[in-house]
Amino acid sequence: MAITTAPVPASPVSEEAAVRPGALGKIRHWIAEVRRLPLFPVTMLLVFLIVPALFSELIAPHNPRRGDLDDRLVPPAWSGDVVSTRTVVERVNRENRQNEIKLSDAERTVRIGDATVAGKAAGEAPALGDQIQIVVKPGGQGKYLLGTDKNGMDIFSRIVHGARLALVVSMMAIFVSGLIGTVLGILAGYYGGWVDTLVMRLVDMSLSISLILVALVLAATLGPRIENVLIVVCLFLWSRYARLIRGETLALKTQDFISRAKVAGSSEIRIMLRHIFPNLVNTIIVLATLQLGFVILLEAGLSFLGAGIPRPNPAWGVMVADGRELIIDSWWVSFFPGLAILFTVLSVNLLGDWLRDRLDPKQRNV
Amino acid sequence: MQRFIIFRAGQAIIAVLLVSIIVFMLSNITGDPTSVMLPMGEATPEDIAALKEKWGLDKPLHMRYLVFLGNAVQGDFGESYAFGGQTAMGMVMDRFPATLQLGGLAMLIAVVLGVPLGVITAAKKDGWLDYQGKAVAFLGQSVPSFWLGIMLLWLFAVQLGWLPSSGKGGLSHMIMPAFTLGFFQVAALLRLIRSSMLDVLDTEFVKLARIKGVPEWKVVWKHCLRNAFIAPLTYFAIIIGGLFTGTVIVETVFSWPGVGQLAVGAVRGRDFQVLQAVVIIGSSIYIFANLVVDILYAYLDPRIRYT
Repeated sequence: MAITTAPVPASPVSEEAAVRPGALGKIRHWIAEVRRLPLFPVTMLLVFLIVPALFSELIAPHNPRRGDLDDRLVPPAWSGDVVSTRTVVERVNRENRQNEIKLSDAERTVRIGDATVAGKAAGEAPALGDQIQIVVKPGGQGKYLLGTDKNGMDIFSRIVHGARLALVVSMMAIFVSGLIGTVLGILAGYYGGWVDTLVMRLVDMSLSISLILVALVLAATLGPRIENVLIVVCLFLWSRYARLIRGETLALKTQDFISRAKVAGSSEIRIMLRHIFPNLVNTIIVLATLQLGFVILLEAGLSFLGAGIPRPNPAWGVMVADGRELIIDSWWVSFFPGLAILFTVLSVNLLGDWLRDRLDPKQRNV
Repeated sequence: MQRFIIFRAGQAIIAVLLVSIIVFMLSNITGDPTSVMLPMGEATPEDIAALKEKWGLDKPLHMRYLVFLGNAVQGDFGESYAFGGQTAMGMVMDRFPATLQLGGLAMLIAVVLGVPLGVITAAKKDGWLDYQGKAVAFLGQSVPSFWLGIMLLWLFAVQLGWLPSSGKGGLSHMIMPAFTLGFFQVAALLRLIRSSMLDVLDTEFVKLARIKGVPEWKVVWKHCLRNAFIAPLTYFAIIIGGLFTGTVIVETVFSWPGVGQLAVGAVRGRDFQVLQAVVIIGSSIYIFANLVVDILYAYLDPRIRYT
């Protein structure tokens, strides 16, 4: 068969898989791997981050950046009308406003048709002193599952679109900082000497700068931009990778297979790429997953302060910030976006913890 | 040891200088601050020149940096653009005690809750309490502090009316912000102490103490805890960093009149003098705290000094 005789690529991952016979074995191997994944964090991650991020347009019923100003601060769909009993104080008998009455504790007059009067037929005018039921705060509407914000934008749609922003921004930040950190870490560990000293001093510098303060300066000078979040995260995170990778490279360097590769005439670049890097993949994946939650939280925090993703983008942090002043009457504006952050970060952290135990027990105390 | 201290201190000074360069460059590349300070279209070229001379903006960049650095060392960061007449340094110093109070109480909460919980969960590993502790640790590391703060505000200030919602006052004003700030630290400390305690509980001298008949509580709380404090020290930098980030966020949520709120206000008002003062003073404190921790650690663990 063509499949079994096909040349196996030289990468160590496929070498490991190639021990099993043929493509079927490979598929079985991966199915077994997937079935071993922890059900709870993975399901949570799919529900709260990955599926909404991939299919935002399909899931979200409304435009996340444009609201209906007639539907401002609509509560979640399941909340009912808040009804209050008031006494009729006065009948308004001015021109144009024939059918209005004034109620106790009310600022505005109410049209008769809008109030239900106990014991009277619809449309019949209430007398002075009648007890009247009026809707003080209208309840939720079916089309806005989690309510709307002060611009009438649907919160559910914004959360769904926010998942994509959170995922893209944090993945990019992790990728870039991981790339820089890994390259510098391998170079420092492999070459030692002044390269090592330089990189490690830079690592110390990076660790001793408070990232929130740098983020605030960037926000003040360049305004809130997505790029700021990337710069701040990269400035800060690459050193974590570099330190860990350097340590691992130092340990790998002394192993037999590296000296054999040298004897066989491999170039230094080849040794680093083909022999050292593949052995670091587990460490990198574990660290990246453990950092993902941190980066999502950080991005949300910066956006909350107005130093991250600018409005009107549906960033979760911005949405929570929007609800800060509205908390007395409209708790849902802050509550649901924050819950999305909490569940997402929680599931990423649980998954990272599981991956660390499984792929890289050495890091257990990191 | 002396060499180590001198080396680390030198490194810290370079880090502070680096921060000052970054801050200075960033606030100067974004264009001419005179355009913000003078009314649009009404200022004559002479007005602009006069203002430039007043702020020293007519000199080349590196000269301006040296002047800036010289003034900064003497604690002079200029006057606030937004609050004319007030010095940036004075504004930061006015706000400083409030931030210190909040951070101190948060740290206290973190230590009082985090350390005992870490010890207990380690001593009763895999028990009921250990799982509860794990849940607390995961929650603490996953919950966004600004959201937690707003939710506490909603529950205790709006719904129950037990605590004041914002501003500064007695202890009742501090409870919610300090708890919000401390919660993340509780989780971090709990994990650190627990993992460090587990390592210590596994050592020979603990076994010896047990065989000798030392009561279990004494083994755990005295013999182990003392040794378990060393390893978490390395992570202290992360804890201080978390406290820094947290202060800025929590002060914004609760309108706490501290340095963090001042910084966020300065960003919104593009008040660079104040922001420069906050960032350079804040970074210096942060770097200094890290330096102290490093030296302390090297003092406690001699292996560090010679690497």
